Amino acid sequence: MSGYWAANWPIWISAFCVLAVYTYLYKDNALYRVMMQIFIGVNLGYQAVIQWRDVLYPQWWLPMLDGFDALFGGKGSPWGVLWLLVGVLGAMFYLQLSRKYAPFSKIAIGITIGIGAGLTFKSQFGQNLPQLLDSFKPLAPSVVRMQPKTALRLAGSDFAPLVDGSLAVFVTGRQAVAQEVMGGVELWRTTLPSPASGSPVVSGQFIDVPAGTNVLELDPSSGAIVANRRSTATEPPAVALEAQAVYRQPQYIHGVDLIAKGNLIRGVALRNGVAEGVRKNDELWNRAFAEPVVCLQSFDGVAMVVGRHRSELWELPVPQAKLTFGDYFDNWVFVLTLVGVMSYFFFSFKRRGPIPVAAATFGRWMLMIGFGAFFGNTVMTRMSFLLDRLMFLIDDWLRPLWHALFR
Amino acid sequence: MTDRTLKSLARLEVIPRRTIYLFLFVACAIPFLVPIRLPLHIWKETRSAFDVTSKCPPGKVIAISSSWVSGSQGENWPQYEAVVAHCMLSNIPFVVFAVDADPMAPQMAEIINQREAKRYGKVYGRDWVNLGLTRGAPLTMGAIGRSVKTVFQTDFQHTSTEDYAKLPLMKQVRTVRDFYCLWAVDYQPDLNWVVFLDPTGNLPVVFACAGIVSPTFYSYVSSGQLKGLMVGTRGAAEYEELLRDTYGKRFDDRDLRGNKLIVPLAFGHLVIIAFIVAGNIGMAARRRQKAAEDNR
Repeated sequence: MSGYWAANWPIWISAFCVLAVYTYLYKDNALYRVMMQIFIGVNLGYQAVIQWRDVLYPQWWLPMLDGFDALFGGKGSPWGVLWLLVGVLGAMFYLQLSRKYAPFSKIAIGITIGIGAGLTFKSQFGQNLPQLLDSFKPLAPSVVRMQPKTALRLAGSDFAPLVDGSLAVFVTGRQAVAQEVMGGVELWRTTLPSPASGSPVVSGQFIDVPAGTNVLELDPSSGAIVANRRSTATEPPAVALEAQAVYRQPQYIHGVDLIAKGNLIRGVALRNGVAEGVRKNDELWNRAFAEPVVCLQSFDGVAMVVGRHRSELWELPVPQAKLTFGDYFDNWVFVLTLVGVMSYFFFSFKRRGPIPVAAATFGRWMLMIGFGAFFGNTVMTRMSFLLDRLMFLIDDWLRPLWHALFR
Repeated sequence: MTDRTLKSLARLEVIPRRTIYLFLFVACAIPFLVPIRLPLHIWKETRSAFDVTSKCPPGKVIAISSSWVSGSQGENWPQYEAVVAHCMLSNIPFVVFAVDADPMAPQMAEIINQREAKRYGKVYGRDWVNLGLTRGAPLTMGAIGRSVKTVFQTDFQHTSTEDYAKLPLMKQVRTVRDFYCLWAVDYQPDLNWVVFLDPTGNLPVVFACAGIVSPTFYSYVSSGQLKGLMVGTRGAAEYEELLRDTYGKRFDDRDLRGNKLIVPLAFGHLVIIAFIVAGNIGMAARRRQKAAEDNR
C-alpha cells in the first residue's frame, strides 16, 4: 500500500481539487472559492514566468543584448539595439497610470490600434470574400458545362513543337518561330533554306530542325542557323503527328485525359472520383478547335493545342463535382435561409405584403433552428468537459485505489 | 386526465438541478464501468480532414498549431491524439507549435507526442519537433509562413532549430512551402490561419475545434477555405474509426479518448433529452391544470 501512496499522491491532490470545484454544483461554498482563487493565482504566476522565459527572453532580450554587444565590437548585427525601442514603446502603455504622462501612452495605443485595424481589414477580406462567392450556389443542373478558356494565341506548326522550359519552337514550311510559351512573346523568327520535315528537338546547345535529308542547327537564343548538315542514320525519322487519328494526352494534374479527334478535343475522366460523383470515362467538357489538331500537349492545368496555321494555350477547367438531388435541395435551403434571415434583419422599411412578412417569418424560424444546433453543440462540449473529469476520477483515481485495496 | 395526475406531471416542470446533476453523473459513469460500444456514423468533414492528411507526400511536413490546454482537453485531447497517431502511423513528420496560447499548451501536446512515439517507435527531432509557444497573431502567422526558424529560434526545450544534429527534421522545415497542410487544434482555432500563413491560399488548412464553436466553421468548409473539420469528441471518435479501418491492427487505440468518451457522451445526451421531454410534459400539464382551474 505504501507503494500505492508514493505513486498516487499527486492523483489524490488532483482528485481533491476536482471534487472541491464540483461542490459548487451542490451550492456555492468556501472550499470552491478557495480552489478557484488558488487556480487563478497559480495560472497567473505560471503565465508570467513562461511569458518571460519562452517569449520575451529569447525573442526580445537576447537579440537586444546581442545588438549592444555588436555595437561595442562584438559579433552579430548592431541593429538588434533597435529592440530597445520596442521595450520603450511597450512600457509606454503603463504611462496610463500617471496623470501627468498619460497622453504619451496614447502613442503606443494608437500604433496598436492602427496595426490592428490594418490586419482586421486584411483578415475580414480574406475570410469573408470567399464566403460571399460561395453563397452563389447552383439551384438547378446547368446546361452549360465549364469549358477551357483560350489564354494565349501562338504560332501554327506542321509538327509537334519543341517545348523546352519557357521556350516553344514552331515550324511551318520554311518558317521557324520561337515564342515564350506562357507569355506568347515572339523571341525570334527564322526562314529556313528548305521546308521543315519534322519536329524540332534539343541537341546539345542547339535546336535541330529536320529539313529533308538535312538537319539545321539553330541557336536557341537568336534563331540563327549555325550549321546545315546531312542527317545521320542514328537520328530518329521525323513523323508528323497529324498522321495519328486520335491523340491522347493524359493530364494527370486533374485526373483528366485530353482526347483529340479531327478538330474536336474532349476532356474525359481518367479514373473514378476525379471530382465528387464523376466516374471513369465521363466526358467533362468538349471544345472544337479552329482546324484539325496536329498536336496536343498539356502542363499544370493548361493545354497547348497546335494546328497548322495557329496554336492556342487553353486554361483547362478544374473538374466540378456532379451534384445530386440532395445537393440541390441543400442549396435551395441555403439560399432561402440566406434571403429569409437577411430580410428579417432588414429594418430600413416596414414590411408590408405577404412576401416580405413570410420571408422574415421564415428567416426567424431558420434562425431558431440554427440556435438549436448551437445549443446541441454547446451541450456536447460541456458534457465532454464533464466526462473528461469523470474519466480522470474513475480511471486514474478510483480504479487504482480499488486495485490497491482489494487485489 | 385527472387533477391528481396533472398535478403530479406539472412537478416535472421544475425538477431540482441537483437531481439532474445526479442522473447525469450516474448515466455518464456507467459506460466507464461497463464496456459498451455504439455504431458510429462518419461525417463528411471528418473524412475530408482524414483524406487531406493521408495524402501528405514524402518530403513534406505537417504543421500542427496546438493551442489548447486543460480547459478544453475534454475535446481537444482526443482530437490531438488522433491527429498525432495518424501522422506517426503514416510516417508523416510534423512540427507542432502554439500561437497566442496558454503557456501550458506545448507541454500538453508533448505528453501525447511522447506516448504515441513510444507506441510507434518514433524519435524526437527526426519524426517530430515541438517548437513551443510564440505570441503576436496574426502577424506571427505570416512570419511563420515566411521563415519558421526566424519565429522559432529554439524548440520548446531550448535546443536551437539550427542544430540539425539534434533536430534533423528542421533541415527540411524552412517556410510554408515545406508544409503539406496545417492542422489547428484548439477550442476555437483562429480563422486568420486561412488568410495569413499562406497568402496564396494554396496550403490546405484543417481545424479541430470544440463542438460549441463548430457551427461557425461549417460555412468555411463549404467554401473550401477549410479542407476538413474535426468537431469535438465526436470528430475524434470518427477519426479513430477511420484510423482503425485504414490501419487495422497497426493502430494502437489503447487509452485513446475519442471512442472511450463517445458512449458516455451519448448516455449524457439521452439523459438531457429525457429531461427536456419531461420538462415540456410538465409545462403542458401545468397549462392544462391552469386552464381547468380557470374553467371552474
